[in-house]
Amino acid sequence: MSLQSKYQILDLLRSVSDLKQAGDYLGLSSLLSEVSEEELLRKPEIGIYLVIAWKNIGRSKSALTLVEKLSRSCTRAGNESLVWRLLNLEASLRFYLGQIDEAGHLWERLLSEAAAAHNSLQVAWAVTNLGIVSDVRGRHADAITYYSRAIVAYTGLGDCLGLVRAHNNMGITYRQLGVFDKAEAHFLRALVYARDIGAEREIGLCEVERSLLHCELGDLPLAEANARNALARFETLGDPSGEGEAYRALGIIAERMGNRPSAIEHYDKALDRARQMGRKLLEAEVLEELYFVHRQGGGHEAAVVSVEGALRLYLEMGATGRVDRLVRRMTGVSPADPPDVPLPDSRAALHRELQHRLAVP
Amino acid sequence: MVRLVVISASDAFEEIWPVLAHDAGAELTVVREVSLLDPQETHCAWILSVAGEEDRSIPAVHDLARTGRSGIAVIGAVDSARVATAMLKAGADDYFALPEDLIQLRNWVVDTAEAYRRRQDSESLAAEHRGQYDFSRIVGKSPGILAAIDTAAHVIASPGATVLISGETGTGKELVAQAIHYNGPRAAGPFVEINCAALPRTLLEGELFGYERGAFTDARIAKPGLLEVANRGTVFLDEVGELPLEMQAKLLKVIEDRKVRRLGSVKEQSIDVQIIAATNLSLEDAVGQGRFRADLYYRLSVVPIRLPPLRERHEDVLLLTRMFFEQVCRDHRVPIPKLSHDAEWFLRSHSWPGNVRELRNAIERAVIMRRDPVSAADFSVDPPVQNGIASPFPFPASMRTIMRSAARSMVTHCAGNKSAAAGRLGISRKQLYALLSDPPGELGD
Repeated sequence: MSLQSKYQILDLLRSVSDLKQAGDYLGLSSLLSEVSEEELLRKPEIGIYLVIAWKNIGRSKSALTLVEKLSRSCTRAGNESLVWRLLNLEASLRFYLGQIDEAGHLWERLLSEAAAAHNSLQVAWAVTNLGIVSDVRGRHADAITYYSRAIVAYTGLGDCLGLVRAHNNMGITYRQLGVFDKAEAHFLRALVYARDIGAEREIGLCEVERSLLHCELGDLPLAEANARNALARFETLGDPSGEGEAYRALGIIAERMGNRPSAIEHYDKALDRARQMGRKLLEAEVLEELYFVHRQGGGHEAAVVSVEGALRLYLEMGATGRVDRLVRRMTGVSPADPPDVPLPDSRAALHRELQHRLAVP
Repeated sequence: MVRLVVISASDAFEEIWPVLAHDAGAELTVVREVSLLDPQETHCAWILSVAGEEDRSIPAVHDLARTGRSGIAVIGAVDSARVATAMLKAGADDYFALPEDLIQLRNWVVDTAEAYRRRQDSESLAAEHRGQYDFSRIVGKSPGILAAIDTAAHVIASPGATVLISGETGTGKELVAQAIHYNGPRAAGPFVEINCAALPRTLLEGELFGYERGAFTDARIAKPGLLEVANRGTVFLDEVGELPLEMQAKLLKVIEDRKVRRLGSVKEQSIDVQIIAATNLSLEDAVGQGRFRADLYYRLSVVPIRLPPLRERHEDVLLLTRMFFEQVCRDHRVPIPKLSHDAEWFLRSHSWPGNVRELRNAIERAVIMRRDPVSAADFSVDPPVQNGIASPFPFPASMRTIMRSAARSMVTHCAGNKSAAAGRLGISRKQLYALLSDPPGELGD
C-alpha cells in the first residue's frame, strides 16, 4: 500500500474518532457507509467505529452482523486488544436485542480472557456488565459479587466514572435486597466520586436512587426533596431521560404520601419522557407503578392496560427478574384476585434502556 | 497533560507527527536530539525516527532507554526482522517500518498515551484515597474513639496482622478498615470488601476461593476468588459473624496457611493479604452458643478494635456535627445554617441508635430541606428500619427525659405541627411546649 493511501486511512481514522468524540453517530455512519465492507474488514480499527455508530442509531442487527465478521478477521490477525473490544460490543448488542444468555456468555468469555491477560479495563467492563445481567435476572447476590470486582478493577485503573456507576449499581442492588444501610453507604460513595469529577448527570442519578431509598425508609419529605433536586439538575442539563427517572421517583413518593392525583401526574410525565427517549425499561417501570396506583383507585381498566404494557415490555427485554418482581407485587396487592393478563411469549427486542449503566466502548 | 516526543534528525515523515499527537490527545514536541529535551518534563511516549540510519542509531536507542524512560518506539524505513530485533535489544518497546506500519504506529501511540493517562488517574485516585481515609478524618476526642484510632494506626506497622473491628451498625467500621488499608504499605493493592451476610451459602465458597472451569454445572469459565483478587492488598470481611460454620473452617485454614485453592483445582496458590474482619454482633457470645468457631475468633482478634456507639461519645457529637455540616453544605453548595439552642441540646441528648451514620443523615436532611436556623424538630429521628429494636429514645434515662424525647420525636413525625403532635401524644399544647422547652442541663443531661 502506498504512503498516500496510508495517509488517507490516517485521515479517515482521525475524522471518525472526532465524530465519535462529538457523539455524532449519524455523521459517523454516513461517512463510513462510503467505505466498502472488504476495506472495513481489512482495517478493523475503522470498522469498529461503524459498529459503534450503528449501535447508537438503533441499527443493532446490522451492527451485530458486522461485529461478528470483524471479530473473525481480528482473531485471524491475532489482534487481541481489538478482539476484546469487539467481544464487549457484540455482548452489549446481544443484550439490547434481548439475547441475555448469549450476552452473559460472551461477557464471561471476555472476563476469563482479560483476567488471564491482566487487562484490568476489560475485566472492569466485563464484571460491571455481568452484574447488570445478574440484576436483570433477579440474581442480586451474584450482582453484588460482580460489582465488588468492578470496584476493585476501577480503583486500580483510577477510573472515577466507573466507580460512580459500580457503587450506584451496588446501592440499587442492596436496596432491592432490603439492606438499606449498605445501599446508603454505596450511594454516598458514588456521590463522592461523582462530585469529585463534576459528573452532574451521575449526581442526579444517585439522587434519584437515594430518594427511592429514603422513600423505602419512610422519610418522604427527604425523599421528595432529593428527587426534586435531581429533577432540577436534569432540567438544567437538558436530559429528558434523567427527568423521566426523577418524575417516576416523585410519583412513587406522592403515592406513598397518599396523593394519588399527583402520583398519576408525575407518572404521566415520566412516561412521556421515557417514550420520547425510547427508554423501554423506564417505560415498563412507570407502567408497573401506574398499574398499582390505578388499581388502588378502582380504575380497573386503566390498571389492566398498564400492567399488560409493563409485562409485554419486560418480556420483550428478557428481564425475567422484573417479571417475577411484578408478579410478586401483584399477588401481594390482591392475592385472591390476580389480574387475568395474557403474557406474551416473545422476547423480541432488548432496548437501549440500560445503556447508561453498561460499560461499553 | 500528555506529551508525545519525537526525536528526528531529519524531516522525514514530519507531516505524520501532528496527526499522531492529535489522535492520542497529546501535545507534540519535536527535537533534533535527546540532549535538547527538558529532563523535568514528563512524557507519555517517545518516537525515535532513524529512517535511513538504522544500523548507526542503535547507540542512540540504548542511551534513551538507559535513562529509564518507557514507551519508546523506533521508526525506520527498513522492514526487517533483524533491525527490529536489534532495536528491541537496545531497549525500544517496539519498532515500526514506515510506510508499511503507519496504522500500527498510530495504534501504538494511542494505546501508549491511554495507558499513561490511566497510570496518572490511578496515582491521583490513590492520593485522593489517602487523603479521604486519613486517620485525621476520623473525628473525635472521646477516650473510646481515641483508643480505637491509636490501635488502628499501630496496625499499619504490622501489615500482616489480622484485625477484628467490632461496633454497632453505623459506628464507622468500614471507615477504620479503609484508613488502615490506605495509610499502610498495602495502599497500592486492592481493598476488597465482602459482605458475608449478603452472600448465600451456595455462592460464598466459590466467590471467596474461586473455581476452575467445569468445577460445577454453572462454572463455564475459571474465576479467581475474591481472596485471590485481593492479593497484596486487604480483604475486609464485613459481618463476619454471619459466616456459615463450614466456611469458618475454610477461612481459618486460609489465615493459617496463607494459601487458597480454587474449587475443582488441586493446586494451592499463595496469597499475601491482610484480613480485617468486622462484626456488629458479640462474637464471644456467638462462640459460647456454638455459632462461631473459637479458634477462628482468636485468629481474627489478634488486634481487636472496638468502636464505641455515639451514645458513649457525647463529647464528640458537636465536633462531628460541625464536620458534617461543612461537608454536606459544600456538597450541596449552600451556606452553613445556624443551629438553634434547642437543636444543639437535642444533638447532645439524643441516643443516636443509628450512630454516626444517623447523625450524618439527620444533618443532610436538615440541609436538603433548607432549614435555617435548624431546630431540634428538623432532625429526623425515625429509627433505622434495619437495626432491629432501635429506638430514638434514650434508655435507661429518667421518665422526664424519655417524655421529652417522645415529644420531640412526635413533633418531627408531625412535620413540626405542634398541635397535631400534642393531640397524638394525648397531652395539651402547653404540656408539649413545657417538654420541648426543657433546657439542657436542667435534667442532668
